[in-house]
Amino acid sequence: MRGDRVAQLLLAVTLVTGLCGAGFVAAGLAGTPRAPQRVDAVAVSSGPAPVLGRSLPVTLAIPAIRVHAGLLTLGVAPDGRVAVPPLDSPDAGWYEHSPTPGELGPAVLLGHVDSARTGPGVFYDLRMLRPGDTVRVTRADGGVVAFRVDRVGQYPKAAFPTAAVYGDIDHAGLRLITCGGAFDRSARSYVDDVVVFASAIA
Amino acid sequence: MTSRLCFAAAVTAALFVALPGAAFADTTPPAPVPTGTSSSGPVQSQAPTTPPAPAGPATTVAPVPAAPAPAPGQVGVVPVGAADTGGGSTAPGSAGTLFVLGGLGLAGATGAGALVVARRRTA
Repeated sequence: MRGDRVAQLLLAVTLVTGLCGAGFVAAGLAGTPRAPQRVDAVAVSSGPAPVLGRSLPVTLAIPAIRVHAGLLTLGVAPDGRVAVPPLDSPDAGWYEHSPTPGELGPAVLLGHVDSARTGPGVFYDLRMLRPGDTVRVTRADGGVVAFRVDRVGQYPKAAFPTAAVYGDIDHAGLRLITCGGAFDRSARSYVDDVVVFASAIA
Repeated sequence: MTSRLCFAAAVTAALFVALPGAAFADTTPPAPVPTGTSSSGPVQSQAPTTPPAPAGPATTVAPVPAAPAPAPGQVGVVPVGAADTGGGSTAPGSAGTLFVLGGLGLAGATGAGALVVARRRTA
C-alpha cells in the first residue's frame, strides 16, 4: 500500500518534470537564433532619385531579408533618446523628427532585433544586408520610394555615430537602426547598434 | 643848412619806407587762416565758407552684409545616445540556458520513470 503511494508520487513527479523539461527544450528551440536569412538582391536601376515632398511612411519592405512590416511613428523618449516600438511589436518605426522617406535628408527607421518574449524581431536579419540591396518604403500618398543600401555598420552604443546618422545630407537618404553585438545582461541591453545607410534611387 | 637837408632827406626816406607798408596794411585782406590753427592776426567774424556736412552716420565704413542664418537641420531634433532596440532573447547564451534546464528536466523524468518501473517489478 505504501509502495503504491510512493509509486504514484514518483509517477506524478515524472510527469511534471517531463513536461517542464519538454517545455524548456521547446522554449530553447524557439529562442535559438535562426540562421540569418537573405535573398539574393535583384538588380535595380540606379538613376537619379528625385526629392519628394513630405508624406508619412506606411510600410517597409526589404526583400533581401524578407521584411514586410508596418511603420509606427516614433518620437523622443523622456530621457532624450529616440523612442522605439513596443518590444513585441512586429512593426518598425519612423522617427518623426527626421524627414519622411523620399524627402531631402536622412529618414530614420528603427526596429527591434528581438524581444524577450517573441524571439527575433523585425530587424533581426538587418545585419545581413549588403551594399546594393534594395529597401522600399510606401508612403501615405501612395508613392513607393526605393533605396539602395550604401553600407552597413555596427557601432558600440557608447560611440554611436550621431552625426553620420542624423546629420544633413544632399540627397534623400534612409537610416535603418537596430541593436547588435553581445547582450549585456546586467544592463539588459545590447552593447552595439547596427546601422544601415541607404540612398534613394527611384 | 646842410644838416637840415640831411634831416629832411632822412625823414623823406623813412616815409617812403613806412607809408607804403601802412597803406598796404589797411587794404590788403588778411591771408586765409587755415581752420583749426591759431592765428595772431586779425580774426574776422565770418560765416563759414564751406557748407556744413550733411547729417549722416558718424562712420563711413561700408556696411558689411550679415551672415545668413543657419538653415534648420534636416533632422529637427537629434536624439541623445543610441537606440535600445532589443530584448536579448536571441543573444548567445539565453537559448543554451533553456536547453540545460530542459535537459535536466528530461533526465529527471527519465530517472523517475525508471525508478517507478523498477519498483513495480520488484513489487
